[in-house]
Amino acid sequence: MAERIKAQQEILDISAAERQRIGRDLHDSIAQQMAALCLMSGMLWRKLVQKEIVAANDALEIHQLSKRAIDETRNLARGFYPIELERQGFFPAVEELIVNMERMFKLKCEWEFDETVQIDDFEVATHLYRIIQEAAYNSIRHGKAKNLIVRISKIGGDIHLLIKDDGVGIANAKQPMSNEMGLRIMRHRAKIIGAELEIEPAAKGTVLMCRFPQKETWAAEEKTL
Amino acid sequence: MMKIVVVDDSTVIRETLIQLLKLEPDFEICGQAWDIPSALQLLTQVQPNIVLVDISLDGKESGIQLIQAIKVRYPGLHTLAISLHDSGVYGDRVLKAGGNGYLMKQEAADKLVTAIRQVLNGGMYRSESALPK
Repeated sequence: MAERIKAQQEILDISAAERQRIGRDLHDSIAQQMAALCLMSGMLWRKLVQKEIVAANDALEIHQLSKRAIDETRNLARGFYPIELERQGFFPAVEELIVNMERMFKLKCEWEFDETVQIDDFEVATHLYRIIQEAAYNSIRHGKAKNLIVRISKIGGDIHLLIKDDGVGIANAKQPMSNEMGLRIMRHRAKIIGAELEIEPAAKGTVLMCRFPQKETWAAEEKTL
Repeated sequence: MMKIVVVDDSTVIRETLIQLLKLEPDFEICGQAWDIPSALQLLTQVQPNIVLVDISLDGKESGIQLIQAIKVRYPGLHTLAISLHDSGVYGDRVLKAGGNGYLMKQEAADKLVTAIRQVLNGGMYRSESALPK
């Protein structure tokens, strides 16, 4: 039994390592090559415009497509592995995620982060990042939201995450929650970091609230178990 | 002639930026580098008017460290950060480090020359997507 659990964990570790490798390759290699394509196509467009060649319009279209391809490649990279979390830290990574979604999905976002909140534990940061990512995508995909608020604050000894959208709203919060995969995974991630997660309808749209203890408190609780 | 140094760890990006800059008759590329040591070494040998610095040198944020080092060693030398990242935080961090502007690579084909001229004229340049809330 112990052998099987160990083998299962090894498979999960290998899978995680593979996702990390793919995410890094997409971010560090493919996205950079896309950037070069974007630059070169832009330059071609300018040269053709200068020479008043009609094909300039085709070059412009390639240039515009390459810009979108960069955004989508970086978005895909984040899906595999949020490399910005590792290189920039939690708040810059979340801000970049939100800004990118604003641009890709024409979403208007407001975000407010309490600078005294520290999320140094990489596992906690990763799960929280993924919760924000999933919630934001749900707001866009399912909720058809146009506006999103993301707020991270500290109240007492706890860190509070609030995500509110103006979409169509989640139906019947009082009844058993939808079994959609994304919601299940969010709940699972919240559980891993010892957080409470609630998703409720708002006057317009949906509100997600996630609350978990600060790292020191969390570590102290672990020691007492 | 306006003398420009380009610092980016991607050879393809560096060479494409250089080709773009060569379209301007009053721009001269006086050198290129790929990391902090090669950039600082180059700056002891050439006297550019502006240095283009990729934020994500070596995959990390060492571009900001380079901007800080240039600010200390060559206070009058302009720097323009370039990056794929569009976070408002990077724009602020570049300015705090002493940089004169922030340009997204996705906009470089359209805005690079404008950004450089604006900085060389004593102004600042910032890509719209990098503006803070």
